[in-house]
Amino acid sequence: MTAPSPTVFIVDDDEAVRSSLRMLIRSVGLQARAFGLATEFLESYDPDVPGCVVLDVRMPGMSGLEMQQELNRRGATIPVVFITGHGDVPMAVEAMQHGAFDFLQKPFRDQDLLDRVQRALERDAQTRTAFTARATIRERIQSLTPRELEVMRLVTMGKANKVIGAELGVSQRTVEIHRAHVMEKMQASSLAALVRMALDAAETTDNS
Amino acid sequence: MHPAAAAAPRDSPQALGRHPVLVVDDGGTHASEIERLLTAMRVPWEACAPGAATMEAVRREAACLITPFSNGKDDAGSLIEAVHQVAPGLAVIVVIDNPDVAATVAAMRLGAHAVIEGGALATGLLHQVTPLLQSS
Repeated sequence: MTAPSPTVFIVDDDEAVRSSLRMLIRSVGLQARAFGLATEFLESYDPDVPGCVVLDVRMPGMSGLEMQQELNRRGATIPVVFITGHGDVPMAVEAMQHGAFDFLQKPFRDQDLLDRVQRALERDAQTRTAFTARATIRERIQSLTPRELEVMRLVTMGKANKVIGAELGVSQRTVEIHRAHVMEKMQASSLAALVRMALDAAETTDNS
Repeated sequence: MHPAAAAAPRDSPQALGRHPVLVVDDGGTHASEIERLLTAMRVPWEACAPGAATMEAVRREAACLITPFSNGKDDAGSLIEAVHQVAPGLAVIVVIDNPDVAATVAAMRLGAHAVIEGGALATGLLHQVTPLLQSS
């Protein structure tokens, strides 16, 4: 299945700004969708669609910062580029503290925005690649039997087959067989690769 | 320790936080204003001279480090990097005169916890320092 093309989501209550940004972004061959309200965007937001958000800070109803916090609550990783008509330093600090990708003050040069959008899209692509890789590792781990999982845990702790055998009450030969199955199912080319996968999986579990 | 630190009510039972706020005292007006405001907030603080004394101070436990900067992000970046090598995760709050959004974002990207405008120290300190003290 082909991954959907990245979309730049523009959220700004000013129709003129929405139109000009949409035109600018489409002019470089990117898809753009515009929303006049934060709630409109949130209602249609699909985390499976790659992209980034260009978000006005000050809007009637839900503000840009509130929308960012709602995205954070949902666990969304989509990069957010804030735009503001005011040189509001505390607001920029708050947005960056909450994980904004960038914060741009109006009026800005077209190219400055396009550069930031490109970088935001690159970041989103990297995040999605890493997420997919971790999901693959999780699937492989789920294919292990409980005994193979135990052997993998001990192997990645650096324990020798003989020690593992003693701990599990099985022969060294049995450990070797389980270990070979683990390496095959995990598609690990080396012990170092297996350790990296185990660390990735542990990190994902810790963050979930 | 800077002699002015003696003025901080760090032994007061009402003082906020267990660890002191470190203030890089470059002899400028912002440093003395920060120290005055922290004292008024009943926040334990310690002044340290720029350079080696600051790096020595951050080796000890601190709630955060506040550093005034008169001229922008490059100095802030090298200080933040050096501080984080010694004390990873220590919040560094940068005080800049009339910062624009670009300078603020640049400082945040360099690892600053926050940027406070030199002309809005009282509200900036209250907003940024208090949560750090409550978790220190």
